Amino acid sequence: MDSLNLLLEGFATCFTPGNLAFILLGVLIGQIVGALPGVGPAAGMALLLPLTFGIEPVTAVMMLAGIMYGGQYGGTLTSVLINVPGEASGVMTAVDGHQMARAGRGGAALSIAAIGSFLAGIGACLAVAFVTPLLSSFALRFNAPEYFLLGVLGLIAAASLGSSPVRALIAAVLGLMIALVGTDPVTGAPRLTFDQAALFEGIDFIPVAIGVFGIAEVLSSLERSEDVQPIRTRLRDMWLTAEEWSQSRFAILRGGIIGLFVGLMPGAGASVASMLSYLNERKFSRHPERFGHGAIDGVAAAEAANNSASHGAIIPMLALGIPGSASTAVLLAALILHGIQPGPSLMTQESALVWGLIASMFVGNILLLVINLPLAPMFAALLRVPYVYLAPGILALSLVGAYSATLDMGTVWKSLFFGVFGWLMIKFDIPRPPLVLALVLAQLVETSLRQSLLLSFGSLGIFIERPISIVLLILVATMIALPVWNAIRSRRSPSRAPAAE
Amino acid sequence: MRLIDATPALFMIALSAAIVAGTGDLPYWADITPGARFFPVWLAGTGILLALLLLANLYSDPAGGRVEIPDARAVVRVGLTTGGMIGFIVLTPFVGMVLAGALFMAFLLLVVLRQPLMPSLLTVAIVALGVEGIFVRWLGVALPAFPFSI
Amino acid sequence: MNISVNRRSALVAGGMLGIALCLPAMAQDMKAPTGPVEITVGSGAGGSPDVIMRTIAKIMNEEKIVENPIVVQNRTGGGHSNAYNYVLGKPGDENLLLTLASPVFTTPIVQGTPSVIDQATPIAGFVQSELILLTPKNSPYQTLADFIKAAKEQPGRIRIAGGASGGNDHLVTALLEQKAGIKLTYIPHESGGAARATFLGGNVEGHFGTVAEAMAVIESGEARGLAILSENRRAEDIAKDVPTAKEQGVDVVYTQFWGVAGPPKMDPALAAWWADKFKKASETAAWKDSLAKNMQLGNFYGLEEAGAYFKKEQDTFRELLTTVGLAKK
Repeated sequence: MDSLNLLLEGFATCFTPGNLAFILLGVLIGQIVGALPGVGPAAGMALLLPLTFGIEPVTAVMMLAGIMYGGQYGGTLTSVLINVPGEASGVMTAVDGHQMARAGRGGAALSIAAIGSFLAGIGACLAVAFVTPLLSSFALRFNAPEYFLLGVLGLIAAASLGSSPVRALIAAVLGLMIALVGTDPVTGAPRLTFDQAALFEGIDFIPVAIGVFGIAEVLSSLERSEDVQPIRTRLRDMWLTAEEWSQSRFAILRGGIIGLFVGLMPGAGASVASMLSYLNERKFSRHPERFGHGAIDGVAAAEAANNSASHGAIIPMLALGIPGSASTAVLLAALILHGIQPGPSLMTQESALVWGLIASMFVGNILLLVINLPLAPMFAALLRVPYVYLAPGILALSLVGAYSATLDMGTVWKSLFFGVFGWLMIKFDIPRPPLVLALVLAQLVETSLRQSLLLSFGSLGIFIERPISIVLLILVATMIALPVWNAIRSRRSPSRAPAAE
Repeated sequence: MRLIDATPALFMIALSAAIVAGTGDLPYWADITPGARFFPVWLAGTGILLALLLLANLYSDPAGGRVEIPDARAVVRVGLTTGGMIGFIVLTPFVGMVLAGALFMAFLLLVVLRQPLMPSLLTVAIVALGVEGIFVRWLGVALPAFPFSI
Repeated sequence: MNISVNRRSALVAGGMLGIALCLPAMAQDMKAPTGPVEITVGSGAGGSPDVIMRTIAKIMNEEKIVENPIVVQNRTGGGHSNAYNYVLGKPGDENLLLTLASPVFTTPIVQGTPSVIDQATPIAGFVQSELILLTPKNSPYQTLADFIKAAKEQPGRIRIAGGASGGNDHLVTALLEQKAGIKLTYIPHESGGAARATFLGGNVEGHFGTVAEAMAVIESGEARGLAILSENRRAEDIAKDVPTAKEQGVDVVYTQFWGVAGPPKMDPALAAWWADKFKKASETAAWKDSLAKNMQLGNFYGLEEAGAYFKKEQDTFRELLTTVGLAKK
């Protein structure tokens, strides 16, 4: 097989001491920047881009890609341990992962996240190596109508989080309302910006996530910090049990597949991937009630999905020259800075570089597993530090992280505002994840709907004329109809008063 | 049903009304596609509907959405912590971000949480040096620096 | 042979004369900054302005044209307003430069705030990129005339996928509509990459790409180039078959450009020093190589010349933004 030979050559490129060292450096940096709130893999890659100027292009790309997927592993740490997702794709991990950490199972959550990320990462690498042309042509069949329906699916996923559907929906609507602020994506007219330059580009995900998760969490815990016991974690509780593994195996498989397909679409990305995979797992779980309260298969599915999505985003980049995510955009920029012109001919003209990169992703994922598995219990043990000493550090890091994201004090103010807002949400029992997820999905839902109708000159038929769109439409209809049907059936039993809708 | 339990619903209704009012100058429909106001209007409608549903739920089952009101001490702590963060933002341009962060952490540990001096200072030092080392020195993020160079 | 040698020596002599003439004046008026210098970019990492600035900063430092370490910082958000407000807020700062890209001009027009270039100190415009109008490989339009004819027959039925509303793609679409007397449907996307995916997916009739982007999809057979919106055709073998819009009777010339400016009230001697350094960097082999690879133009405008150039472009932006109804009165 041709690809196999090329891949072996790629491994030969990889296995020089210099390249291996740079891959290791890349994944380590990724691990660290992924864990810093506000920085994240894309920003970390950009910050370290100048360091790659002196080295060979293939080595540089290997290292930068290492930061990209290493960041997915690193982001898990803060999501699970302190409930601060460093970026949108970590939100779903935080939902169950942090509950596990609170129950003293942080080590297991981190372990399954590492294993899930690893398996899904390797699977995605195989896909990149052997079916990139096929997948990239699939990615091109995904356009505005499909993105709109995908966004709706994501919203349904978001609204199923929390104590009651009405409260989760209120949170999701709040998130969509926050997203209204800024320049209207289609006409370019300012909307709800109140003539403030700071609001012109809208309210970004980062200050909202840092606020409603990180800052709000600390504020709520500090109310009565003397009651917050350090989480008791015995070392033997840290490891993954056989039962947990058997619960998570298929979650990883399904999450990995969903992640790959969603990740390779330039308009969606790791956050949508982890949401859909989580929703899918919950729908088909035998114990859906455990989701949101520390379900390990939820963590496994979300982490498998976001890592395979971050690899999948490489496919349109290599095959078409279209970045599938913020991180791959930086990777493309790195190629250009190193004098390589990306585009559809990249894979043939720079085959040594492309295959070296693909091979390095296998190596990098193995390195990350080797690093993360033994470290998972150690990181989880950090929670033994009394909370009163962790809290100021989390707050300071959140504020500094918010500043680093844009180098603008306005972002820090926004984080603080959303911190207090998030604290109020906790007090009033409005779940926070749907808000943040809806904020991420808003662009997909609103812009894609309007783009679709521009494409079809106003005809709604565009949603049923396209094969992938029909499949998604049926999925959406089922997802909406099922709970309604269930509600109607339970209403038929006359025990409840009609007012209790 | 207490007023405080209804706060989220009332807030949602107010916010929806504000969005409808605030987008009044934008077109609802533009030629063949929804305009800039289409989404806001529908969203506000959904918001109001959900708020009414929530109110109905509260009315039929007042115990369902009972808000636990934090006691005065908790409110003071949250207030002081928030004030500390505002102080951090205000101080940063004058003393640099790392020092402002250190002062904020010290304030939080010593004044708000009343922790012993030595462990507090140790925590402050570790986090401040970590931020300086990782963000400033290593990643080269341009955090506002202490303006009077030493 | 003889002739060419003579010409070359004449050129060298001319160049030396030029240098000799300039030297006394420039030597007096130039002042170097001390310490590290920040180049502020309003786009995220990986955006065109970011890549351009990192490339030229790398050349300046590596070839020792500028000894001060140059750091490129992304102050993103607000349609580049975070970046330009930061620079405008530090008048006279000697260690700060602002990257000029189209949002630096368009955002104030859209928001109705004072122009940036009227306040900042223009230093240099040193790189431009031409645009090519593309159509999918299986589209019936072979020439720009076919395309325009179709748009005239069915107003609004020809769709263009492009970047954000009010951005370059949108404005050049407006210019094309104006000059050809047609009506197109512009479909904005959150990024140029997303727009290209819509285009390559075969959903629309037209899309604008920079020469490098366009040639990549033309070479792979995914698309045809209908027209280059430039005064002249490109010289490269692979791109020289794309005719200009002007040749085809539609007078549309639109180039993206990037440059640098200093903060307001910058010391003229410092601005002159930077203009000189950018000029030198833009003459290096490494920069020429980068221009060739990215198929960009390297016309250089320094100081007053740059100021006049930027002002002219600003007027174009204002006119086009008014046409599409985005300029705030």
